[in-house]
Amino acid sequence: MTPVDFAGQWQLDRVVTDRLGGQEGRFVGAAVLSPLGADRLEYAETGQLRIGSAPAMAATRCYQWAFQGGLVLVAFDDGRPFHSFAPGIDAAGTAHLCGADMYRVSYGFSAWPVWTADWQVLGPRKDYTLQSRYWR
Amino acid sequence: MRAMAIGLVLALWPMLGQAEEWRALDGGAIKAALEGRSLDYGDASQNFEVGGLTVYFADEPSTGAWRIDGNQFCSQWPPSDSWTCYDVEGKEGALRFIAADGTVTQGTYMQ
Repeated sequence: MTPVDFAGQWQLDRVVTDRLGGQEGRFVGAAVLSPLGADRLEYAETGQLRIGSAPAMAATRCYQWAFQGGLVLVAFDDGRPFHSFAPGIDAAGTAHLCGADMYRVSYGFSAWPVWTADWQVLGPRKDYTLQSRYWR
Repeated sequence: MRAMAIGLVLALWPMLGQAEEWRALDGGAIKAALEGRSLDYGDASQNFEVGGLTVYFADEPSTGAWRIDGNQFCSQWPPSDSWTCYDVEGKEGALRFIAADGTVTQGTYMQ
């Protein structure tokens, strides 16, 4: 897969399951991947996040995607590296260690153009999953 | 942001890409930044009372509680009795809350 396959707007539904707090959240919105040159995309998502019985809150996040050597290198919006994955292949991406917390991700493309990114976050005070589903 | 909700420490996404001017706030700084203040989120607003009450105003007001846990902001929204915690970053006139899924909600001071 190339940047062209991902470029444009995707609908996004994300379920947040907090095993420690025993509650669930949901983010519903859209992700827009905009070209930043031939091999780069800017990932920007906007939507509403609701956790448990809280009022929904508007929320955003941004990343940079760079296509290199058959991988997508994902960086935070200030350029610091986050993780990488193989686009089009159902497989785990690289893990990200932040302090004592480990972030592991698995991507799924078998239902393309529906694709998924499932995160598991484990740490001394963290135990939750994020299941994101994207579609046009 | 819109209401900072429920749940125990939903802990936060690994350090977000931060614009240079944003700085992470510790517990004391978060308390000082919020206590008695109000934030405007564009389509909603939220008050943070000194006694730990918070009111979120959108289509209709929602009342909850807020507190500091370590270096995080936490809130609780009845009927849930769980607390959800967020990292907070600040810069001149603005704060942003980073949720467990990495999303960011940004507010500016109303007063």
